[in-house]
Amino acid sequence: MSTSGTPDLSQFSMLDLFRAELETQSQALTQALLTLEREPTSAPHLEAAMRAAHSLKGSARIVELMPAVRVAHAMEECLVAAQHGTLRLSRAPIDALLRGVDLLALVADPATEGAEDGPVAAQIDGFLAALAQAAAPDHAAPPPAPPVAPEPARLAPPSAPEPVSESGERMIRITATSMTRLLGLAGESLIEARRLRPFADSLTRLRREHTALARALDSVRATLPPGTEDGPTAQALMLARGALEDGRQALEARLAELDALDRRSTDLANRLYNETLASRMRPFEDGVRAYSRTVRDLAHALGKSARLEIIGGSTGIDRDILDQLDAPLGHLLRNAIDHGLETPEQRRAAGKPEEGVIRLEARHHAGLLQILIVDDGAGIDLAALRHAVVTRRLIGADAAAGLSEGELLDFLFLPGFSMKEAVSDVSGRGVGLDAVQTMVRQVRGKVRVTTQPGAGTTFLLELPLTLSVIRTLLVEIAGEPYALPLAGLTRTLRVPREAVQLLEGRPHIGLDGQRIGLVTAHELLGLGDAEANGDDLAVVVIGSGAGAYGLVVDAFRGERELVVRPLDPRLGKIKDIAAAALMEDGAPVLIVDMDDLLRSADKLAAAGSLRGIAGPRGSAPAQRRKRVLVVDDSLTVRELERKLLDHHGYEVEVAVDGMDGWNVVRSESFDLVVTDVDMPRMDGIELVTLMRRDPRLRNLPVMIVSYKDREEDRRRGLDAGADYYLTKGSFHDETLIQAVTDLIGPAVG
Amino acid sequence: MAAPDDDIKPDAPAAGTSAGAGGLLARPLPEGYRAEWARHIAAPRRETEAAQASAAKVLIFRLGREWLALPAGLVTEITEPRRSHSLPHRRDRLVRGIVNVRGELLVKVALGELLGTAEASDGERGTGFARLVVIGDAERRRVAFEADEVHGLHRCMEAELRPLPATVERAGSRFTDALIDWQGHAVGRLDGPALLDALGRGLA
Repeated sequence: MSTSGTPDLSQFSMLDLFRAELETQSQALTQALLTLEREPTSAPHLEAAMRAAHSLKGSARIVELMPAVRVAHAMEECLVAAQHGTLRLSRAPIDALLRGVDLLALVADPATEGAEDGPVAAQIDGFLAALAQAAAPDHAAPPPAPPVAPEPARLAPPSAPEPVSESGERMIRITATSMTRLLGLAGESLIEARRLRPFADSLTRLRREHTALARALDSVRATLPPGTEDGPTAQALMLARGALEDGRQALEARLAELDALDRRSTDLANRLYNETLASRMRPFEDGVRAYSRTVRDLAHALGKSARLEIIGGSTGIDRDILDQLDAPLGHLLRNAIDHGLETPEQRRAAGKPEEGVIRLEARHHAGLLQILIVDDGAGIDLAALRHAVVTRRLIGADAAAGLSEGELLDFLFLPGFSMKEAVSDVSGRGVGLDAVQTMVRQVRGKVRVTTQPGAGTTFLLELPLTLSVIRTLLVEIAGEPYALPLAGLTRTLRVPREAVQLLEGRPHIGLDGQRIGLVTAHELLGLGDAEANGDDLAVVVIGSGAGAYGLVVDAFRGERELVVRPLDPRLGKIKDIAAAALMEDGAPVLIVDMDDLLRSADKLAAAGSLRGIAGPRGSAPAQRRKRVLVVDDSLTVRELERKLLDHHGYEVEVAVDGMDGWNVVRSESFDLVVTDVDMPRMDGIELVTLMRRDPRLRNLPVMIVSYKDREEDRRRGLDAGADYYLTKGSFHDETLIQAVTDLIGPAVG
Repeated sequence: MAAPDDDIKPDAPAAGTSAGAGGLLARPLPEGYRAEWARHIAAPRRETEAAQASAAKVLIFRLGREWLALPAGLVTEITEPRRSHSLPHRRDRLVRGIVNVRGELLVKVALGELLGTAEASDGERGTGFARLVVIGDAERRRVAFEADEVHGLHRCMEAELRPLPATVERAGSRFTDALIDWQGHAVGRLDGPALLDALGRGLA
C-alpha cells in the first residue's frame, strides 16, 4: 500500500507534517551522531539519537510510510544496542546510521515514486545489510567495553541533552513581501504611538492654564468690597470656581489615563517592532549547522580528517541572505577540504594535528556581515599561481611579476581558471570559484581571499545586512537628511572658515599634522553648490592616511540607530547611496554608501574637478578633447590604459567596476567606453548590455579589453553589443591606441 | 426591491399601531402579484450583468490641467502628501524621490512628466487638496505619485466612453485609451498596466 500515489488531500498534509518533523528530527539525529563519533558512549547523546529515531519511526507509521518505518526501526535497534553497551559506535556504524538519515529524506521526498519497490527499495535493503554488518559483534569486538560504558556516561550528564526542543519549534513560511509590509506597519505603529506623548504634554499645558484661571478667580474674589463677601457676585464667583475645579479634576483624571495609555501603547508598539525585526533574522547557526556533517563526510571520502568549527553561531542574519548563501558556502567548504587541507601524513610531517580544522565564522563588522571560511591547510602557492597565470597566457610574464598578491589571487575567480595543468601539488583551486563570486555578487557582496603559506587560506565574504540596525551619524545636506554609517567615519569636527587654506586652488585643513583636502557633500552627491553661510564648517573625515578627505556637510544632526531598508530594486544601484531608512518622525532618510563616496572623492580629485568650497576653478580647455571612460577593477590595468590614452591626447575618466562605470556613463558624456569583462558588482558584458538598452547610450562605441582570449568570449562580448574586442594577452600600446583611433578618430578635432 | 413574503403575518399589529396602518399592511395581495414577482426573480439577470461588465470602476484625479482616470483595481492607497527625500545623481524629472507610506518606502514619481500633462496656471489650481496616490498590482511593484486633486471612484459605463481625439490617437506613445464624459470634463482613461510598465522602465 504505497502512499506516494494516493491523491488524497488529507494524506498529503500528513506527509507534509512528516516531512517537517523529519527535518527537525534528522537535524537532532545528525548532531547527536556526529558527537557520538567523538565520544561513542556519551549517554545523553545516545539517548537523543535514539529518541529521534524512535519518534521518526512512530510518525512514519502514522503516515503509513512503511519503507521509512523499516529504516528508522533498524536505526533505533542499532542505537538501543549501543545504549546497552552491546555495540560500540565506531566509524562504520556511524557512517551507516548517517546514511540512514539520508535515506529517510529520500523516502519522504515526494519525487520518490513507489518507495515499496524500485531503486529506493534496493537502497533500503542495501542500507539494512550495511547497518547489520556494521553492527555485527565482530565489528564491535575490538573495544569490548560493555561494563565500562556507564562510567564516562556518569561524567557526561552536566553537558546537557541535545537542544531538541529548541530546534523542535514549529517553523512557518511567510513571503518576504508580507514580512516587509509587516515590519513597515510595526514601524508605523511605533511612530503613531510616539505621538501620544506630545499630545499628553499639550494637555498638561491646558491644566496649567486651568490653575492660572483659578488663581485669577481667587484674586477677583479678594478685591470684592468689604461687606459683599456673601453677596450675589461672590456666590456667582463661588459657582464658577466650583465648576472650574470640577473641570480641573476631570482633566487630571483623563491625563493620568492618557499617560498610562501612552506608556502601554509605546511599550506594545516597541515590542511589536522589535519582535517583527527579530523574526526576519535567523541565527547564523540555523543555516550552517548541517555543514558539520558535510565536512566530516567529505573529508572521510577524500581520506582526510576534518572538523568544522562554527563561531558566531548566534549572529543574526537576514533570512534571504542566509538562504542565498547556502550554495556558495557549501562550495567554499568543499574547496577548503579538497584543496586547502593536506593529507594526514602531510599534516603530521608539517607538525600539525592530523585533524584539520575549518572555521566558519560570522560577525557584524563595519556595517557589513562578514563570513569567514578559514582552513588551517597549506595555503596557496603564490609562485605557482603566478606561473599558472603566465603559462595559461592570461598575462605577460612582466606584467605578472608586477601584480600584487591581491591582484594575483583575483585570477582564482576567473571562469574556468585552474592551476591543475601547471602545478601538481596545489591542485585546481579555481574550479567553481567564479560561481561563488557570481552568487555573492548577487546579494551585493564581495569575496576576498588571503593566504599564508603553510598556515592556511581565508575566504572572506562581505555582505550587506539588508535588514539590520546600523549606527549612523545624521547630517544635513542641501536641506535633506543623510545618514553616514559610523563605521565609515574617522572623526567629525567643526572648522572655522579662517582655518581653511588653499593649495592650487583646492581647500584643505590641517589635522594632527596631516593636510586633509576638503570636498563638499553637495558636489559629491551632485546636489548643486553648497551655501556659504555660518562661521564654522561641519566636517566629517572619511577614509584614512593619504586617502582621507574632509567631507563638508551643512549640519550635524546627531547619532541615530537606523533600520536599513532596501531601495526599490528597479532604481538600480544609486551612486553613493547604500540604502534608505525611516527616522523617528517617519520621514525617509538615505544611508550613504561610504565606499562609493570615497571612490567618488578619489575620482573627483584625480580628475581635478574638485571645486571644494572655494568655487569653480575656471580654466576651461580651449578645444574639446575626446573623452574616454576606462572601466577596469585592476588598478594596474586602469592606470596603464589611462596614461596611454592621456598621452595620446584623450581626456580620460576612470571607473573602478561595471556598476561604477554604469553610473558614470549615464551622468557624463563620453565618446568611447573601454571596459574589462571580469569585475566585481557588475561585469563588462552586463555593462555593455545595459548601455545597448539605453536609448541615449545605444550608439556610444564600446571596446572590451579582457584577459579572456577564447573565441566564445569574443563572441559573447560582441553579441552583447561591443564594437571591438581586444585581449590583454596581446596588449600592446599601438594595438589599443590604433583601435581607439579607428573607432573614434584622433583625440582632438 | 422587496419580494412578497407570506411569512409576514399582519394579524398581530404592534401596540400603538393604528388600525388603519394595520389594515394597510394586512390587505390581501392582488391577483397574480406573487406569480409576477416569482417570474421576475427567476429570470436570468442578462441585462444587468452586461451592464456591470461594461461598468468598470475608475479613480478620477487631476494632474495640472488634465482630469484623468485610472482603473480602481490598481489604486492601493490615497493619502495626504508627505515629505519625500530626493535621490542624488538622478537627473531625470520622472523620479522625485522616496516617500514613506505606512512604513513602506516607495518611489515617488511625477506622473505628469511621463504623460506630458500641462502644468496648471494659478487661476486653474482649483479648490481641491493634493493627494498622494499609490498604484501597483500583483506583478508590478508599487509607486506613488502626487495628484493635484482626487475626485474619488466613478463607475463608468460603456455608454460614457468617447473615442480619443485624432491628435492623441496618432501620437506615438500614449497611455490614454478612451475618454470618459464626467461632469462636463473629458477625462482621459489610462491604460493601467501599460502605465505601470512604463513607470517601471522609467525607474531603471
